Amino acid sequence: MRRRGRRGRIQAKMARYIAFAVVTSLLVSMIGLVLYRYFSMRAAMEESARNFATLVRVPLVQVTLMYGSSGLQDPVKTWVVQLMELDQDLETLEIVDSDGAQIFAASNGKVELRSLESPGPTIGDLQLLKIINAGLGEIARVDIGGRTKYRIVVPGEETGRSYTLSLVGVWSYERVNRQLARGVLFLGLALMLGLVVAERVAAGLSRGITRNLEELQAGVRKIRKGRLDVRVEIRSEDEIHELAEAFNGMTEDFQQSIERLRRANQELQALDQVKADLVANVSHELRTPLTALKGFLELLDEGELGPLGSEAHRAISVCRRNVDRLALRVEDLVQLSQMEESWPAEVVAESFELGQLVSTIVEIYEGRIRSKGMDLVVDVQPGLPEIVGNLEQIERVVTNLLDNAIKFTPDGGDLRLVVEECDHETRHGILIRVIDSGIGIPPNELVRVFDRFHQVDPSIRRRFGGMGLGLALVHHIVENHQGVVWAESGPGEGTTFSVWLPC
Amino acid sequence: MNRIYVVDDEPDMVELLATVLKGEGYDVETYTDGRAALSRVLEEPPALLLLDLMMPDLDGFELLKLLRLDSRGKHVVVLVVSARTGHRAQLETLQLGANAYIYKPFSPRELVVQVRQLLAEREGAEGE
Repeated sequence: MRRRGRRGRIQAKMARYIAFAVVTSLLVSMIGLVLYRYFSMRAAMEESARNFATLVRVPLVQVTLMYGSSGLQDPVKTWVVQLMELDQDLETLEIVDSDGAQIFAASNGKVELRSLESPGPTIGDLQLLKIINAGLGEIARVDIGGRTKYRIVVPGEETGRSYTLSLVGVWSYERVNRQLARGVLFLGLALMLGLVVAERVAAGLSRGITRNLEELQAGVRKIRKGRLDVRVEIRSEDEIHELAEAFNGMTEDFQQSIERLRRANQELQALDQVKADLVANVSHELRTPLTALKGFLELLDEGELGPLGSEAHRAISVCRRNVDRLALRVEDLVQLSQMEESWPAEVVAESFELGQLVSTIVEIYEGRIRSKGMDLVVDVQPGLPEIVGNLEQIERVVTNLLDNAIKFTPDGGDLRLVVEECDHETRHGILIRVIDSGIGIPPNELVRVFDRFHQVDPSIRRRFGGMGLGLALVHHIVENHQGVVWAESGPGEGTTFSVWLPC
Repeated sequence: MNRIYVVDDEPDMVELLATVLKGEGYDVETYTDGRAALSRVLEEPPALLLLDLMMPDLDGFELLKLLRLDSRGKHVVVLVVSARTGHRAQLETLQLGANAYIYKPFSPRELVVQVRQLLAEREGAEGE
């Protein structure tokens, strides 16, 4: 049903257009025909009236003489009746004396006769009366009772008698007008019939076009279902054929592009797997030497392997600190590669107090902060509710953010660590903010700082070393805890990293 | 005195572990080859076996499996040293019969704490 409706659209539209065109040309020519017929009929009627006037001139004189001498009414009456029958458009006929008084009057076959001694009413039309008095003739279209009529005045001739009779005939256009109305009615009926016929014919003709369109549509539908091998076959030689060719070409291009993309995607996936494996393997390989380094440095530092001078002691401390940071980065790398593969189902969640965790981390970093001459203000709201999550991972979040802030703040700068209760979109939770007074991040870079390996600008990388990994891990962990992480900054204004976790 | 065998294919790691444990007063024997270590353990079981998982030829997993199959090695306390982190690795090791595990990189102090605890547990168990 739906298909029929769809198919009907273009076909019906074309049929309507064609029918409209046909009917419009028909209308114009038929209006012309009707008008031509109307005007020629009018002219014919008027000509017949004029002929009448010429023909009646002599008999009128005879009637005047005869009536005047005999006073017999019947022959006059017969003549008038004959005259009335002569022309069907002749509406009234009057024979009046020179004063305009009615002697004979005939209308619609009714003939009324008066005697010269007692004539009927005088013609009321003053203009006409003047013509008759002057013994003049007239042939004119006049307005009688709001209608246009054709009036002929045939003047009487001097017969030597004391009276002169003139004839006034009025022709009506009624029959001609009726013909016009009939013509218009016929025109309307013909047009309606023409419209129906033209539409039918046009619909039949346009079916040839819509059939091809349907085939094209069927092809499109198949391609939409993913069958890119489908080609549309249109046998006609028209524009739809060209459209189908273009469409086939496009599908071919699509097919090739998609094939290329698919291959590229496969290669990328394989590469991604290689990279993930590599990252995992490399970090495993890194852990063993790190353990050896860390272990011996600790033994040295604690004097287990013999006494050290103060210079050596200082050098060993630097080594230990750097080995610890190296270990932290290696762990970031491993965790991130594991998390990007799949969120490990075995993550243990426990409830713990965030304030305590924060102060433990701050203790670890105090030495480094002091050595850079920085000022760290820790502001933890007392009586915070416990949060549920993975302690180690949350520790890594805070550690990475603090480490980041220390690294990107020049010596002598200020750091703030604020932990407080806060709602986020109707959920209750805890907000951790790490605020530095560092170089800041341009706004267009803010959203991308959590991308893996992304860094703001190459010169910063040279000055400070990479941090992309740490923030990417923060992002992952926070998201896996149904939390939110964001950064606010402006160049030169410092940066605030905020982590909100539900509780 | 408690005897501890250290098995790791990395000589540097072996040296570190031996140094730390000797410093704590344990009697330490070191092995860089899994097979030699296994035959020695079966011959004369130590109080604790410190075992690296990733080793060529006979690796830690295999060694542990063979050890637990033998009646002489069934009760040896095994502390696994692993570069693999995560729950899965931990679970695997424990299923194979390790008593505990420690992740690289660890600090000597962490190792000592673990070893002490394990040996104390073992003595407690023997005492019963």
